Amino acid sequence: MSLIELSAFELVEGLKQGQFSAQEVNSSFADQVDLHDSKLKAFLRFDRQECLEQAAKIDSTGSKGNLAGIPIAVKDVICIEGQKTTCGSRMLEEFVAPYDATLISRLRKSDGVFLGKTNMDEFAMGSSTENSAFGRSCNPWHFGSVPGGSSGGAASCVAASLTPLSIGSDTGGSVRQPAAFCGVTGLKPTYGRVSRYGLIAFASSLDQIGFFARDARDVALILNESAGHDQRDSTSSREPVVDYLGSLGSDLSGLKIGLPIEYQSEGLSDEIQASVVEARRVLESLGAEVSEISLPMTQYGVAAYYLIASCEASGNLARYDGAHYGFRANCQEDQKSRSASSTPPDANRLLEMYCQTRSKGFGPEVKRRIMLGTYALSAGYYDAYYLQALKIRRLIQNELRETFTKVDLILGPTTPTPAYRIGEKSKDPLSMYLGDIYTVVANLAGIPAISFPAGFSTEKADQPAMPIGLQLQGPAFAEAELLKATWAFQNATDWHQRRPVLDGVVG
Amino acid sequence: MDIKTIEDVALLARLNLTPDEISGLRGDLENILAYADQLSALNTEGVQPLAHPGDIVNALREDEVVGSLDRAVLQRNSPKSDDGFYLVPAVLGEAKLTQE
Amino acid sequence: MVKSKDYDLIVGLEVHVQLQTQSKLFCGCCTSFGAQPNTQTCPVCTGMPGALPVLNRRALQLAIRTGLALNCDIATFTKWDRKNYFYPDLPKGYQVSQFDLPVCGAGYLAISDPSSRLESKPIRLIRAHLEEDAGKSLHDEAGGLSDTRIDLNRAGTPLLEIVSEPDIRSPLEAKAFLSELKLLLGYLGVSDCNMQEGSLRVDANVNLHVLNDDQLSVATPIVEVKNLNSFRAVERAVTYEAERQWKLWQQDKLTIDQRPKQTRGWNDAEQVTVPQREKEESADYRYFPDPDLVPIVLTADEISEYRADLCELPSEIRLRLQKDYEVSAYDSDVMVNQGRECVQYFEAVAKKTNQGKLAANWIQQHVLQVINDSDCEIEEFPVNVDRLSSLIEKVHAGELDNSRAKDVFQAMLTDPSPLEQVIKALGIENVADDELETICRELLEQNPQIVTDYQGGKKQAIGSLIGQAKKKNPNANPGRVRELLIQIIENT
Repeated sequence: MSLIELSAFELVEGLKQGQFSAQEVNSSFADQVDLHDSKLKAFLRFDRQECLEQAAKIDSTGSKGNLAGIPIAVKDVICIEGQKTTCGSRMLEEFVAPYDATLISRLRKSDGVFLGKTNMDEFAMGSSTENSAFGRSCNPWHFGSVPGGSSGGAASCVAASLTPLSIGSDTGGSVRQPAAFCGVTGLKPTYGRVSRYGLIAFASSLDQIGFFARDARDVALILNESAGHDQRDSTSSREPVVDYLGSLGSDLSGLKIGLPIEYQSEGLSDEIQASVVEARRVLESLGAEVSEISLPMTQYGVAAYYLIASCEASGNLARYDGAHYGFRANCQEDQKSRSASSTPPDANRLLEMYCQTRSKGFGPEVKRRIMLGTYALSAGYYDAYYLQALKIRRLIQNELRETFTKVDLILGPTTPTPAYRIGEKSKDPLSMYLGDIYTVVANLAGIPAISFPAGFSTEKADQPAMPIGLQLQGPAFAEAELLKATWAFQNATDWHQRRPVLDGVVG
Repeated sequence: MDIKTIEDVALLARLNLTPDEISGLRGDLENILAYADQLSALNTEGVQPLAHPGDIVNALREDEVVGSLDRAVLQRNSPKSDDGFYLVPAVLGEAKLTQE
Repeated sequence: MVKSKDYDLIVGLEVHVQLQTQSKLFCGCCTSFGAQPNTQTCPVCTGMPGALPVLNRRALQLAIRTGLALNCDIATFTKWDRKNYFYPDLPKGYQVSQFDLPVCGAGYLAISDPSSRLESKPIRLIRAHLEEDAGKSLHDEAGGLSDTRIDLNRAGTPLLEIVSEPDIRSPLEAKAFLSELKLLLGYLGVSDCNMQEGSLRVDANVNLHVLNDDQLSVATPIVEVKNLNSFRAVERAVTYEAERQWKLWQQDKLTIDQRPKQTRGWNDAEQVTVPQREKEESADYRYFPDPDLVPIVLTADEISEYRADLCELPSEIRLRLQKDYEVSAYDSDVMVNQGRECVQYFEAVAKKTNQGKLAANWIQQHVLQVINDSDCEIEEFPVNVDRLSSLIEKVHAGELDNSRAKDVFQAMLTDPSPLEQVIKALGIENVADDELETICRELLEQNPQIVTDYQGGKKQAIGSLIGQAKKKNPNANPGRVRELLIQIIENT
């Protein structure tokens, strides 16, 4: 059996027992990257030698960390000291992070091996990874389809067995949606569960680091090493961390699961609806009680989300102005070529530098959201848009808190459709935004949610069968319950074990 | 949403937009805001806005100096620096004294 | 009632006070002044991607302490907001500040009205809020094309912005307000208020209330004067603006509604205010709650604890000194205004000697004069509490007359020996009564006219003899000489 077919949990066991070395593990995955990533483009940067050096060090020192020798791919939104961290943007194309994110420090202590940085929508804004300034990534199940986004590269590389674990970020579904599209397990923890220090901000009150793996047990493994309070993140929680691995089990007796009737909205594919019904049957067979519930505020989630996220982003991205770091446009040259410009050449050079830098450094989706957020915060619109969205957000959180007094978890689809073809939605931002209808709610309310493989679509003329993901949401800090239910489901099904055939599949 | 509004917002956001970008954004933003208008239909009187999803308050650190980061490391990413300073284009005509 | 002047001057002040913390408001970088450029910075205060702020507990404490001392309502819920604007000394593209829920709400600061010296007038305060300072932009002085240099050492230093109501009516009141505020902040240990180093910065909002053609009182447009970096600059800039605005009003008759607030800068070299460059757009700071920082919640009990911990304030000390030591309002004002150390020095001397009034006189007339001339601190003043006390005791006991005591005091500044030795070194010694009596008898014999005058009722006539006695023996105690002269005349 090839090492790349093993889960992270199995690799940890095998390494502990000396069945293989960290170098063997890492060279197996590195081989897989070398073999397939030229087509997949999941990685923005992958340094085989650096990764094998980390592995060699672990072998030679006999490191005993809980992730000793396990390869981990990192979305390029998280800072690793001394490494480029681009956020998928021209603005940070040459930016070398001067410090480690708190999560990276923690995983270093657990002796994980950082395999490389994965592709993403620019500044995590997007649902298809088509917004990366450095080219799009592909869905391993069909190279002509999107891997989802914004953590498309991180989902894709787990699905294609380029790594057993990867780290993403989830602001409105950016872990769960690509997990669903690529047929892997993806967790967005509770807001504040994993430190955001070193996670480049998109929308600070919604951003949360999340994890990709093949199954819930692997997610529990890395969450155990990642969760916990961080003095450097004011929004980090002091809630005690539980042993997520130890909480796994297969008996769901007494677990109450709610199935929101609103999630069966028009726009939801019949195949995904069928998967929900089938998953309900499986969960019930494991002892869970599933009942229908109503979440009427859900329908306002997308609108509230896009306003709040864009407002926060307009502030968070103001720092990219060419003054202190990152890209700076060369204005002198530009002025020569812009003789007919409305700005006279002797005008404020600083303003010119700012505007040129930001116009050239940011891609269209980022500009769109900065414009939306700037507009929604500006005098005269603040109350109608931003403030109203925050109030709706409160109502959504209240509704969920009330719901979780009656049920333990909420089951539903992760996405309305499986992965679509590259280019299919990139011309219509609003239709792309509406694809986040099931995921944004968890970010607005700050609750944890997990997406797991639960079926496949039927093959079409222009697309093979694509994975279907379902989502479980829980109350704040219910990660253990989510992982347990998912793991029990995965013990009873084999959707999560299906792997794409990478050779010969072309877009 | 008129062109002038788009231009004003772009200036606030420090973006130079081409005429094509302006017309594209105008359509996109109008669509998105029209969709967002459903929020205004909801009665939210007396509802407290929710800016932070967590319930955390009073996150404080003690007043202790921890070493600053080496300037060379921080300025490695600087587009232009000299003699320890970051350099930016001057603001012409600004009636500022030497120290802001 | 006839108006004595053409207009009423209306001034409100915005004071930025740098709080005396070791580290910055949201990161652990050092706040000390004068370091090499950009050596006191880190990912947080340079706005690096992914870095996050965490509030400095001490900065919050100092803000609350100041708010209580300024009679402000302290918020039980306060939060952080982002003020969005682009400037190269603001690395994040926004300043973390407080918009609608400042830590300190309405309050007031009583000032001594300079026109009647000691009558108190409260200047109301709108609010005081915490915010982070920006870095420094060093512009090309020639105003040419060369780049502006940015130093971010100051970026993120904690500031308390104190905003007054427009209750100030004269340049002198503006100065009195600032002096009292600075004094209070010093007593609280909140700020060193060093204006040269920018620890205290002042903007003034100035306009006039004038009579229009219908003899109705109207307000002229508000002008914000920035860059006031000394109290004198505030006084002069306000004076200048009042005159400038009065002239302008007579020409354009524009009222507050007809012209938006303008910003002018004080040019200290030319002693004028100059218009500042108009921005490309109208200011729209798009304040919104900073999602990276969580709110601060204070209970009423916690606020009470802060209140209980508050030190004695200058206004309270002024009253107490008058009551406890029977010094005048003027005396207590002078000593309190000198600072806490002076008050402590005074109280120690007054207690030791039991002579409050005498101690106050000595400190004002001698000690402070030397200190203010020599720029030394009272703690290291060569005439310490014990030495001044023993000197005052001698004066009070009549063993030293005032003029000799002054000589002794001068000598003590350079001679650290015990008082008795200093006195001896100056050749001062008590003259025995029989020796004095001999001198007095000689003088009376030589000046029969004075004796006659005295006996005729002109008692002050013997004054000239006291001076002559001191010439014959510089150590002659004038009081004793007077006693002896009277004794001799009346016994003959």
